[in-house]
Amino acid sequence: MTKQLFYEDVEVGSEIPCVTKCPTTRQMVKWVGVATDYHEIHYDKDFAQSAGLPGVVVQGRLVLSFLCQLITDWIGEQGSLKKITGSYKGIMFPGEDLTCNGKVTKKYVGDGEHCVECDIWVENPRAEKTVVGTAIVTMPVRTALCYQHVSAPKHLKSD
Amino acid sequence: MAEDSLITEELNNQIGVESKPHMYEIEKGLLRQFARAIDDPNPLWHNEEYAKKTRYGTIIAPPSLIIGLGMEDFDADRWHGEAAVRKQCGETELLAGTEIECYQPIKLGDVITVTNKLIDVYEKESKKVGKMLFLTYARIGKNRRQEIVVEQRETFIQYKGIEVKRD
Repeated sequence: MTKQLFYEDVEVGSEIPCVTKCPTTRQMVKWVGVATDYHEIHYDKDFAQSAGLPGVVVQGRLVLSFLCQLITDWIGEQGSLKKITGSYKGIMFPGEDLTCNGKVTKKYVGDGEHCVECDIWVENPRAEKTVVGTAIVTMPVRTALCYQHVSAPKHLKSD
Repeated sequence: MAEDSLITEELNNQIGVESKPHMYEIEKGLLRQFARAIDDPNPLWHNEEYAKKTRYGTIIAPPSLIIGLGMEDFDADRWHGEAAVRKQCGETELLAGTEIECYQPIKLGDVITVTNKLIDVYEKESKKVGKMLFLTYARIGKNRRQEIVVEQRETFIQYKGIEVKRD
């Protein structure tokens, strides 16, 4: 696994290392099986075409799970994903690369937790944003470690 | 309520009505299959040796599990409409957006009870497709101690189908 990221490591504007996925019809069917999400436009080409689509389309929920991975890969085992949102803006087709991106928009301490907010989005090969959303995570802090290296200011030192 | 509103009394009465609870056992096989389906190699979701040494002490579910758990039950619980409304707003239905809030990690061996309910309904007029009906649902997942561990909210749009040009 990658090195643990700490609250101090991120700034507003920091970019999240992108994750690229290329969902195939095989992956979409795997998802159908485990999620029991049986809408025909995701696996029946004739059905999808009768609905006016060129072919089967990738499940928005499957793509949101890619955005969850973008976040969990980034925050590491000691971070926690608290909230994630996604709006489905465009149809996605199997066999096309989907790039998951994110950028930090806010960091703050709330209820004793170190929180980071991000904008997240998915782009298709034509640089169209097909899913856009936000995420809120909590991260561990290094502060406890830093204390060891800080000496007290002169006026606080006892003679 | 306007006479030609899509939001009928029957639909309005659905708001806040909780479905029967659906129970899902969080088994090793389910977590492994789910991680494979989303193609996420994170060992926290499947490697027990690795997970034992983490703060969780066991493998946990990816935060996206809820949106791939019991969708057939969710579909069955959703409002499927009166004929009159469907005639007006058509057969086309799109999933517009999803939100997930995670309150506690879902761990191997947990039993998650999920209830589904409609929480909001509104309509909009679009020049392109005419009347559009927006329906927002909440799915609440609780653990054995009846603590809410996860919440999912989803908004669907129903409208009359439009012709999409084929290549």
